[in-house]
Amino acid sequence: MTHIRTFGFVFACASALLLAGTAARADDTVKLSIGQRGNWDTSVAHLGDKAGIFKKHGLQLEMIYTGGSGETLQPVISGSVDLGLAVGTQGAMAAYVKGAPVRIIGAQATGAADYWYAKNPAIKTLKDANDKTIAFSSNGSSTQSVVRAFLSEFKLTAKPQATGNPTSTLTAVMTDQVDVGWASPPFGLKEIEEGKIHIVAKATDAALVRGQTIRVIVANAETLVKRKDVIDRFMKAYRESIDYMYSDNPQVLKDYAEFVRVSEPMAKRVREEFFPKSLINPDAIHGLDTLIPEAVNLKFIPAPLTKEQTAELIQIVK
Amino acid sequence: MKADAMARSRVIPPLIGFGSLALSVLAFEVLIRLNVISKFIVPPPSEIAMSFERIIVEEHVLQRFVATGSEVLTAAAMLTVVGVSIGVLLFQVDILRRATETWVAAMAAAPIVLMYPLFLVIFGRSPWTIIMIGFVAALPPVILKTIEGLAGTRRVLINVGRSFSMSESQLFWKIMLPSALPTIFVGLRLGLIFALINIVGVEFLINFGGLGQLINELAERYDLAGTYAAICFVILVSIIVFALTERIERWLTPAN
Repeated sequence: MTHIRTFGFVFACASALLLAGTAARADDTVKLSIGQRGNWDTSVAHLGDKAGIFKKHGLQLEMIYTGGSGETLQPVISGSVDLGLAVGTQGAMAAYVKGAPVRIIGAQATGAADYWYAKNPAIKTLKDANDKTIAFSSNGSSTQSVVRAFLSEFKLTAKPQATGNPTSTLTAVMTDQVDVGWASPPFGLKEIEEGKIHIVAKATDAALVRGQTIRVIVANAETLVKRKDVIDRFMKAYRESIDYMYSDNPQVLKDYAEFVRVSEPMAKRVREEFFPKSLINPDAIHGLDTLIPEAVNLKFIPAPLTKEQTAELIQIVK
Repeated sequence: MKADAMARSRVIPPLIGFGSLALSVLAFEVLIRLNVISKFIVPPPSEIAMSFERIIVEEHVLQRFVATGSEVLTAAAMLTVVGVSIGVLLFQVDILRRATETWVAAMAAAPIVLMYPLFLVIFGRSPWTIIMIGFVAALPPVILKTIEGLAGTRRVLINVGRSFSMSESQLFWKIMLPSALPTIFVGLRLGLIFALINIVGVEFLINFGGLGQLINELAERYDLAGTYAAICFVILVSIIVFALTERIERWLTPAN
């Protein structure tokens, strides 16, 4: 009899645990692929999740960080993740034009927080970089567009050079292989504080860049239809997370500092100096008038998008 | 025709090889067209074939093919000279061999490609960074197989040489090296695999040079057919390098 009672008790406990588990699973899972881990703008999901904002909207996030725009986009197209964050706008256009089931549901970065720096104290501004080498990451990248904008807007005679990611670029600058390097904060800020390098220009110094949405949030077209409610809730939580990131709650800087392993003052510097709130506002895609011709020019798309195509591709989730 | 006769035939084995390849390509085409495999992950082979003209004309893939091919050939030449020489040295100097053989073997498993920032510092943003990473990554199998080949020379052959009063140098050049050549070539082939993987990988990683850089750019543009077509050119580099190695091996070891 005692055994039966004990069994009954254990069974009841197990059932309760299972029910609790089911309750926890009631949250909808949203799978995300996110490019450029550690940037302030790509940390919205992480920081919002840590603050319980997504949970509040009944969402459980599964985040996978990737090495670049292409890697972020591919799992969205294949349907293995629901959303891709920090996909290059022109990359998304290229995939859409080729018939891939991808839709832009929000802006991820309008303008860029990237900055250009030098080791040589004689290079103080972009004008000093004339006839010197200036770095960008790779052909067709957003950093190449920024360098192009620098050259045309400031009438520079600097020689652009592809140097890869911020790590290899810093190596190239420190060993005098390139005069002006590029980086995305918080990368390089430690070296700036130590006086090894200094900022020469910011991407937003170019008027063209300030008005361009260079990276976007994309969804799989089928997911957008089938899980409309989940995506709506995600975008609500995403906007709430942005508000939280720019609030005076000190926890957000603590969490970001811990996430990217920098000091809290440096985390604050990243936010205050490089990322105005408007930069990560997801509400509108800006600068299509320059982005589309540039996409054609860089062979992302064979011809400019028609109005109908643009309307189908860009479906901002409010 | 009996199985033995088929195997000995000059025509049938390559025909079976090409036939299998053609069937696989056809199977992919059908599976993609039936939507069993998403065309947004793997483009249909017909689309890849159509993109060849585009990547040759617009992306200048042939220049990039030559760039990667030259890097691989330079690394291969350096591997042959330096790798085999180190192997011979370690074989000759027993204490050196015992002191370093384990390290060399361990180096074969080391992800040398991750040391690219160091190579960038030393060799700059030039093809030499790519060549040197390929060369260093490919060195261990060449060294180890050279030692193995020389150590495996049959005692009776050396004894025959000695009975003819051959000098140490004659013994090495006329008996040991020819006897070790097949094993050395195994090492060279392994080394070339390592070198090619690392060379294309570093080109992709640092966005510099030939086919690796092009593959990176095409992937970022979501030009899947172009990406796969460029990968076909990497395979072509591999085929050419291996065909050359095989020719050289046959020329050096006519008895085989």
